[in-house]
Amino acid sequence: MISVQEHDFSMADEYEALKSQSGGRNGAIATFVGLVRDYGDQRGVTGLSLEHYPGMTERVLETLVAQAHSRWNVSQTRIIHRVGELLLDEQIVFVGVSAAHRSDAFAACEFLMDFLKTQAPFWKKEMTQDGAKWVEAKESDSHKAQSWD
Amino acid sequence: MIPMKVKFFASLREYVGHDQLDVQWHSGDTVAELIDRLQEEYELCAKMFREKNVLCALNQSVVPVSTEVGEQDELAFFPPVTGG
Repeated sequence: MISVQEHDFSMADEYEALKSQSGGRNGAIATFVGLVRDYGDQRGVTGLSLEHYPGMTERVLETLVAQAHSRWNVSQTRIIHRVGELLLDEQIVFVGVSAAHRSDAFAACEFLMDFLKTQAPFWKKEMTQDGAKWVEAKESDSHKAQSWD
Repeated sequence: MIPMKVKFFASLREYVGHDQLDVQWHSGDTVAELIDRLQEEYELCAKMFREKNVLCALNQSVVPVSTEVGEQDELAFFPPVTGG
C-alpha cells in the first residue's frame, strides 16, 4: 500500500499492520524511516517544505513496488511519504517490507528507498534563518540506484 | 492549433512564476517542438530551458523530448527529484 499524505504516521502502527498480515508466513520485517535533519545542502536547516506531482508520484511508487515483488520474495510492502511543511526531527518517509527471509526484506526495503529517492517526483525545499532553498539532486543517490542494475 | 496546458513543478514553477502555462499544440508535435514554442512565447521559459536541468513527463512518465504529444496528453516539466 502507498500513501502520500501531510499528516504524520505511527511507526508502531505500521509495523503492527505488516506483522498482522503475516498469517505465519513471514520470518522478517525490515523498516526504514527518514527524518528531517539540521543540515543538507546547507547548515542550520530548520525545516523542510515538500512538494510532489500528484498522480505521477503514486504511479512511480506502484511501479517500484511491482519491481520489488518481481526481484525478491516479499509478502507485503508499505510506503508512506509526507508532503507539506515539516520541522526538524519529523518523520518524512516510511518503507516497510515483510518477507519469509531477512535477506529479501532488507534488499527490497533498501531498493525501494534508493529508487524512491531518484525516481518519485518529490522535491524538498530547505528552510533556514536566511531563507528557503530548493535541494539539489545528488549524483551519489543516482549512483546508489544504478548499483541495483 | 489547439491550446494545451503545460504543468511546472517545484523550482521550475517558481522560476516561471506559474504552475501552468498555455502552449499551442499542433497534431504530430513532439515534446521538443512544444518546448520551442514555449521558449518563443515566454521569455522566462526560454531562460529556464537554457539554464536549468529540466525533466519532462508525458502522461506522468518521464520521456525523451523526441516523444510525440497527443491532444489529450498531460505534459509536465520539473527538476531532478529530491524526495526521501
